[in-house]
Amino acid sequence: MTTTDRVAAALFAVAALIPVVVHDSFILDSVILILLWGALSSAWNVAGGYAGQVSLGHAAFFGIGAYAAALASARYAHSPWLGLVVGVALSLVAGSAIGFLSNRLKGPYFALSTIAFAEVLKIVASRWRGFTSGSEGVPVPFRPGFWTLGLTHVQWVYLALAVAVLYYLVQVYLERSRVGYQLAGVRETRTPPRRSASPPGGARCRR
Amino acid sequence: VDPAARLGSAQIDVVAQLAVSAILLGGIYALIAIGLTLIFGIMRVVNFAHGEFLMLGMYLAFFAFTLWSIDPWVMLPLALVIFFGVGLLVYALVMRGVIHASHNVQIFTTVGLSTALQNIALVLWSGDYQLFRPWHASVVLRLGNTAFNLSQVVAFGVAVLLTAGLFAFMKFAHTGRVMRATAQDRDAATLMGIDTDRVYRLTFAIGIACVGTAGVLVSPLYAAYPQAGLQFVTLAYVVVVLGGLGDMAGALAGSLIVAAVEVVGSYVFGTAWKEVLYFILFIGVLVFRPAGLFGQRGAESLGV
Repeated sequence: MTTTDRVAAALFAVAALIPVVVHDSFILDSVILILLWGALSSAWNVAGGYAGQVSLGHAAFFGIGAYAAALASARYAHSPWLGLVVGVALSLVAGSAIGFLSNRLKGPYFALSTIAFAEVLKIVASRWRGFTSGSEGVPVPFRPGFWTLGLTHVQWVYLALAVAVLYYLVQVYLERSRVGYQLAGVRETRTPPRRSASPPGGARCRR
Repeated sequence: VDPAARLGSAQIDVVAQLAVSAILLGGIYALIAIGLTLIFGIMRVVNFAHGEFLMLGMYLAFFAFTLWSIDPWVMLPLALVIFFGVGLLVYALVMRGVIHASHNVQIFTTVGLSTALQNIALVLWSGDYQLFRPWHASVVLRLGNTAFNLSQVVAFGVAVLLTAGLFAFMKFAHTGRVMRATAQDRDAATLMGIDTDRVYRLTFAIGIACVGTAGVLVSPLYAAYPQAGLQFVTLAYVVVVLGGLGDMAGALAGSLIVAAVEVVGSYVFGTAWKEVLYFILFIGVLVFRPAGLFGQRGAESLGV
């Protein structure tokens, strides 16, 4: 366990204790968001930090996941958890395709290409009115229960915490694995070595 | 448009109208893109905050018109000076610190600047769409069977004049030659006694002056709001990548191509999908010819 791991564990423990002590929903909301943004950042960090490929289009993957979950529950009356699986699968497909096309670029060119992909998905989402309801968005009905993701604030904190911890562990694993070293290789070389190292697959795309 | 209406004798007129619209639009895109490509060519920085200066230009024209009823055309020379100053200021405060940093640091810096400017505009002026109509926005000119609006024609004319002026400056003025020398080889330029920091400062100020003025020019045609720059700047990215980042003549060609794709695309597929078309074009170029359609000097330093 490195010092960073200990600090992270301590912070996760604090987050786990907050709902026990605090009941103010504003603060709990903030904690949920902090954990979610933390998880999101670590997902971004796989491409941006380890591989040094600064993506400005990760919002697209977040959007795919969000739409999958929202549409699964609002349009098809399935569980958002099912949407989550679909969302991860779709993000993986989109991430692999986008990664395959844009990972041969570096620096500003890579950043520009990710903007282009994200814009295309944004336009599709806002114009495909019949399916996504366009810019009005998809209102998700609140149905209490774990299976429908109608959770209380406290439950949300623990769910977000679980996601954040999971992503942290994925990072720890990546950092010490073969893939992690390959990603660092991509970052440190001016011309990408072998493209087998990328796209960085799952963790990068996971919502 | 009903497909049947596109056939027959009206077809020639439609093509003429499309061509005129594409050229008018292309001139304005050129002025936006030229600043971006100039800054990249000389400073090797993609200015992701470029669109926000366009947005500031639109707000400048909007407030000058609504508060003091100053016509955007009168604001043009003033905007050039103001945005030159803004460019100098932003360079001193933000860009000078990262000019020698890695690409990633520069991307973060300019993306951060973009987000900051958008949110400052949101706080100061709210997210409402602000549109104003000076008299010339309602004047329609006709040539043969094509029609266009006076604001658009003048915007095109001014954009072409400014772009031509910038080309002449780069080609003939001593300072322009110094800037081109820096673009070709930073180290050699420094060894020849060129103060590269001064060149960067000037480059950034000129680039911002171009895009800020472009903002004033388009203000009678498009609404101003905090994210107004985004729609234009994504387009300017397409333009500069098509023409080769840093290539000024390429940016002109790129502007016309993008404008043509946009105009023809909106006619054939409807305006809703026109953006998808040029992004597909953009992605195609990035993937197959990342150095631009005409090749690009210095691209190898980016690992392209």
